[in-house]
Amino acid sequence: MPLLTVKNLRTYFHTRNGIVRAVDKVSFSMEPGETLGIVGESGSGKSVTMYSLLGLIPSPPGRIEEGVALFDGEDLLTASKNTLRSLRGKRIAMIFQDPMTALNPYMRIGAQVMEPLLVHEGCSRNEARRRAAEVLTQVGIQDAAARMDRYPHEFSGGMRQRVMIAMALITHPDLLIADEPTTALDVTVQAQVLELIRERQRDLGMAMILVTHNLGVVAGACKHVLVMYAGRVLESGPVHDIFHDPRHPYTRALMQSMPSLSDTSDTLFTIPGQPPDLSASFTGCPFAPRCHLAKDYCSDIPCTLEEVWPGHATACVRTLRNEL
Amino acid sequence: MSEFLLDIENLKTHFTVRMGNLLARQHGVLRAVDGVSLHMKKGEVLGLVGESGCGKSTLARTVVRLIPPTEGAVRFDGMDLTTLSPSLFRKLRPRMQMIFQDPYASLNPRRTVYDTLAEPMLAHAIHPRKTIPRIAGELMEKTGLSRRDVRKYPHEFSGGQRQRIAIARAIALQPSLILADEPVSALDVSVQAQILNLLRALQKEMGLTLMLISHDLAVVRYMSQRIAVMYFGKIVELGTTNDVFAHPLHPYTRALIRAVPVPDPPSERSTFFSPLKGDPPSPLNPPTGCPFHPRCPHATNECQQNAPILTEHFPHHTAACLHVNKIHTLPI
Repeated sequence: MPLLTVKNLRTYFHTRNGIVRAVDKVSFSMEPGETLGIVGESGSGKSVTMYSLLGLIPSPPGRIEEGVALFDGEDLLTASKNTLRSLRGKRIAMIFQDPMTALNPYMRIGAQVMEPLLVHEGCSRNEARRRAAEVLTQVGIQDAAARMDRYPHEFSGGMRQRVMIAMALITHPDLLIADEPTTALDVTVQAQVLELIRERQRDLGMAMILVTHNLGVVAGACKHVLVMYAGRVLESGPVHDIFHDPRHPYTRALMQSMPSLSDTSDTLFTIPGQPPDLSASFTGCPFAPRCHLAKDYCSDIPCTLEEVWPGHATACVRTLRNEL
Repeated sequence: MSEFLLDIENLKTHFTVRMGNLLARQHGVLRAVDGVSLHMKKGEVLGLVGESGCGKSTLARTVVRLIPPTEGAVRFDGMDLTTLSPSLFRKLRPRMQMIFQDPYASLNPRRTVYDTLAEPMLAHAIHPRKTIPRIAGELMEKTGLSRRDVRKYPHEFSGGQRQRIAIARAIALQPSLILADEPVSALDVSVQAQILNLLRALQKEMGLTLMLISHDLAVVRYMSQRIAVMYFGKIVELGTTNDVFAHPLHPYTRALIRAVPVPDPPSERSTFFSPLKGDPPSPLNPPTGCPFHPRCPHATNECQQNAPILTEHFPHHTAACLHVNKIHTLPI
């Protein structure tokens, strides 16, 4: 049985300048213990999808228009505030991109790491403190007991991210949502943090959604991948298929436009133009105006994600018609 | 007349910082740039890489005197910028321009693009006043923007377009040297490629000397002819792009190269390879000997005591490591 099934999620923001369709019919599902990667550029709806699942969309202007998100049988989108509160930070934990703004600057590190235990498990303070020190040691913070009395500003970026990971893992969640967990970090520290997350994930058998714009990170960490663009999923499938046999022109373009260490070609491949304005409505493929393979009908026919192969789906109309 | 356009000689930028609590206040010295020598030929593209806090931005800012140097010389076209009088420096200033990382912060939100582009031209009076509107339009087109958008404000543009405006402003004075400090790290992959191609085309067309500062090795590799690797305020390796990537000499360079995630899923999913343990050392409390030894997999007792100096181990390929001979033959 899947741990999480999301169907037709639509999250719109009703702004003065019109309706922004930030997430438009996103569906995916994941098994317990699985790692799912969500890639896409800024504004593609990756983070809004995650925030929608956790009930963290500011409303107004945001509104979940449609959809189901079954987490272990419970619909997250219609669950009461209390139910959500008992899930968040307990069975579903989240790591945010910027550890400086996600940690409370006025609270000591120890108090922040202990908080989930005090709130969700009714631990005594001494017990919580002992377990917090244990988790901090596991994430590689030396001399954890003494450092728990420090404040976030006394930690480096990599250390703060470790604190966030410790906080997220302390309740042994079933699902970890990591939203760009290493974007603010240097490459060498990024490698350490990713290795740490994977190690802990294996030990605890937890599922993870890794949201990132870095294809390299996805390739190294995930089993399945969703490629998002303009609030929609354009392609989804096993990581090998996505990287070695991409079935959407956007996925291919994204990979080609990344400078790589092995490639020394003279000019980089570029995708012309800009991502679309999400407050304008469009019927067809959102990528069509920038796609060099697009035909006139690409902008007219509604595009939906369909399988080209069991487990590998694309929203490209031309691919589905076997024209590419 | 030197053959170099930019000649940085033993440059040091130190900051005094207050440490400790109110009662036991101490003053510490933060050596952000600590004895850097770099020479750039006209028309060359040099990539400067390193982790955050290694001093790469401070180095660039010291070169253009946004930060006063503590010691050393910066010669631009043979003239020492560190001792030049403000009025003489001002005459040289149009010839060196900076592009900053964050196009949301580096453009004045209350000014139209036209005002932003015209200001340096008016301030330095390099073009007749009447021709400025025409030149501003040309700059817009040269950087891939529409001439019509010149009256718009920064908020009406996307991140990539704003970086194009920043580039247009930088080339408005027809500089010889551009220092680009992380020009694409705030941008998305697809836009990043556009900006890199634009920078490269302009560099070739105008014969610009470009110092490209980035933490992204792939970006630097794509753009540069030579690469300088900086760690803890010092250059630890310098060589041609091919040499540095094919035969890195310094263990830190090797670690940086290995840490880049490859967009190719491994056949067996083991773990991420993290080549370095620990964080960079505190600049206020520098380690003895080689600053890299606490994180270095090859460190010996000798490294704790003796600081290595930058030495040429192969033609035009220098590194500051005591064990280069042992390390350079190992596979990356």
